[in-house]
Amino acid sequence: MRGRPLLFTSYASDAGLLPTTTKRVAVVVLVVAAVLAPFGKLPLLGFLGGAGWHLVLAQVLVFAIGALGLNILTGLAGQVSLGHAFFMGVGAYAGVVLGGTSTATLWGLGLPIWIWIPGAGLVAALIGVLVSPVAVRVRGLYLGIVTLGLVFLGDHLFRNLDFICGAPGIGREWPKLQLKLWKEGTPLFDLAHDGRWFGVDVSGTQKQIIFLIPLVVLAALATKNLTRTRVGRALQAIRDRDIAAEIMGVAEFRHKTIAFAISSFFAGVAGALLGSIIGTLNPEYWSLALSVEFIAILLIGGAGTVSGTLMGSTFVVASAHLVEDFTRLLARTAAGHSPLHYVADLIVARGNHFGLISLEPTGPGLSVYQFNQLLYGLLIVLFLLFEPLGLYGIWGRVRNFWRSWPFTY
Amino acid sequence: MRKLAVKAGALAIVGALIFAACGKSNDNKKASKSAKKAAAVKTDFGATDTKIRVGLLADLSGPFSTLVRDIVLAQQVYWDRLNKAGGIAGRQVELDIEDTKYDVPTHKQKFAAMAAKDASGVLMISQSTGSPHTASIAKDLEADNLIAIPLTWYSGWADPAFGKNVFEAYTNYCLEGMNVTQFIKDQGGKKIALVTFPGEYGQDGAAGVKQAAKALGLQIAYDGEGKVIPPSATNPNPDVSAIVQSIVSSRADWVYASVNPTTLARLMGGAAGKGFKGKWTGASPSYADTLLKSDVKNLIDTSWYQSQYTVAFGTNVSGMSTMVDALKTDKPDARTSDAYVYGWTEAEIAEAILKKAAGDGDITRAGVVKAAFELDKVDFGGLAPSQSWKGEPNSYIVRESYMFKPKLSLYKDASLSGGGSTGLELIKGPFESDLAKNYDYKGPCFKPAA
Repeated sequence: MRGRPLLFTSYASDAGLLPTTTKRVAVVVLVVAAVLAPFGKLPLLGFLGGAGWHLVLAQVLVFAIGALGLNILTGLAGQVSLGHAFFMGVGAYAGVVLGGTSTATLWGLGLPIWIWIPGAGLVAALIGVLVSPVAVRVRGLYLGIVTLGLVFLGDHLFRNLDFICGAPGIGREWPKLQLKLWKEGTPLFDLAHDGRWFGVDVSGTQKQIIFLIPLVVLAALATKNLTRTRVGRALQAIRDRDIAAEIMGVAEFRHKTIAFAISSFFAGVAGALLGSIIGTLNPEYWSLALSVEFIAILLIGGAGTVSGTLMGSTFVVASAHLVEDFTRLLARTAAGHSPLHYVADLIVARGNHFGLISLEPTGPGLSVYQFNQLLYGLLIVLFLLFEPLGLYGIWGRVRNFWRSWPFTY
Repeated sequence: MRKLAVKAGALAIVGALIFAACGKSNDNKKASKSAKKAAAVKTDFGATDTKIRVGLLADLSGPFSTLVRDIVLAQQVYWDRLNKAGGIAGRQVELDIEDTKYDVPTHKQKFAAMAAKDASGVLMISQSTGSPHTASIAKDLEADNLIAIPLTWYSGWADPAFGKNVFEAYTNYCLEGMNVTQFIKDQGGKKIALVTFPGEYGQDGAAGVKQAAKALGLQIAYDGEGKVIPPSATNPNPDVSAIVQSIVSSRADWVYASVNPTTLARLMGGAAGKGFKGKWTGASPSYADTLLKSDVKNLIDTSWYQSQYTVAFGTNVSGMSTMVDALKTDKPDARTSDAYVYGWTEAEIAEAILKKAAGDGDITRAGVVKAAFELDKVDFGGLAPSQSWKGEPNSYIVRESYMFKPKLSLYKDASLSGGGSTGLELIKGPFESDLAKNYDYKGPCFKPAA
């Protein structure tokens, strides 16, 4: 009905994935924006077309896939998991053994992409299922510790299984994102090298971004769909009150295992894609810090919601680089003569003058890296204190304000 | 109140994004006095009529950050001086210093930004920290027609199949290992305990040491090649007790270590605590002069012998006074460090290459690559052995290194203006062992797994 977007007259339309026109339009606009962003065609966000940003954008998309997996486990099923990095690592190494080239010291089967990407996910899911008999019996803090143990188990295994993971500190190369039918020489679609699409010069990373967007859309739709299926409702019941759910007839252990399996599948695929995009990763990469980064994505974005997860992954992955670019801009402003240069000079340290952030290798001021660490931690604390629903909560408030404007009181 | 705070926060975030975006689109075009002279050379990316951009991929917050910060500082002072003297081809050289945090994905991402095919890209990379990091961009350098001077001394950089556009400075870990093993033999050593990090850095040196030990009749009493776990952000203090135990029970009289300064301190301290009385040496990056004010300073004074690819700070060579005077004038409060020599000589190499390219009238990226390959010997005024990259690797690779002895009595922890000294006394050098001199270079001594 026009003007009554929240009125649903059939169960089908209420339970729809994109029930309102606004949501449908928003998804289309978002996908179009995501396609245009790496080419620098977005208004105001033209800097995203710069070569330095492409790898960041690709990472945003891969982290989004991984975060959607963790969202199913933590946001939907309520299982605190610090082990996401472990599952990503397992999937990444499954992918590299399935798809990578074998050498004298490394295992690799050289299989094509349509085997190694799903294969990475499946192996990770299998490990998730193997881990769950232990994990489903505990909850809360104890589950957190069990999954933490997984990360350290992974740390030890990845550092010692040289023939799978490469030497510690060195790592190995992941198979490139190239579509081949079997093991032939020239791929059908080569996403790893620069080329020309429809008369436009595209770099390898830009192609990878275009390839990743449908994968993220698929993952997001799958997650959103999961919430309205029987399994999804069971997971939400477990999240809300697992004993009550069990009494009502929801098989607690079975559904928790399903949650672990699905979440690990997403993590495995994300891990393999991450390895392929970055090229080489060393075994220390799958560390507790990576797990915490995913938790931060969920908390900052809004646990349990798909749009929150996407906002969170964009924010967390891009914020480090945004701060760097912003600092560089401040440094230029401080060196210039505009009226803002006093403010900029105060914030940025140049030479031996005091400043909060410094781009210089030595001298006063925090390095951009240290400033990012501080900002990161501060944001997590602030979000937990003031906006537990994260960016999605903030978006919700903004939307509600305008929805009932001018009668927002 | 909370609504106000949320609104203010949202506005601030949007404002910041707009700021960042607006900042990128403007480009101040300054009038150039030497525009005519500047326009005479060909340019493509990384160079405009007024400036040339040179990139540095530096580890400013990772395990080697103490050394790298000093190296970057030396480069900054060098280029500032050059700019004051007129720059290159009438253009000012602008440095693009990026922090890679000794992390391979960050290194690749920063490189991608530097390789941009527009004015924000660079013309060449005068420093690329880390062996695996430089290896990860080696093929991209060729694809993008960029050259990089590595801040790593892996023997594979001289091999065109491995690092064609990687212009190595000084000798490499493998030949250094041979030279140092010869030194050990000259000092009367008979049994060597070998402990290294895994990967190109540690195992390349180990390859050289093992070859030399075999040729000179020395015994490798403990083979710890690749067994020491390197510190990382998630594991800053890896356990070395097993390695220490192995060193002690091997009863070696010399230890060759290719690690980093903090790990070296723990190894030396741990072994001395178990009564080990042997001598220590190893690859140059294992040591930093800050160890002379740490807990192990007495051990370093009695037992560590420092191999260097260049001279130390303050060594009496002709080029030293220019460097020291420039540093003292520009950065009098900076600490005294041997690492400045690395940065200074890196910048000298970069300047020589750019000046040659400018002289040939072509400072496009391809022109710079060509000039680098055709450069005659770069002379560092004694700071390091002179070198070039013309012809066959076997004919041009640098085979000489130096041996220094750190001495507490010579060490003075003061700033440059305060007359600080890093405490290294020259024993011999530049010298090359017979093995290094006759070594037939066909490729890297150590081939990594991938």
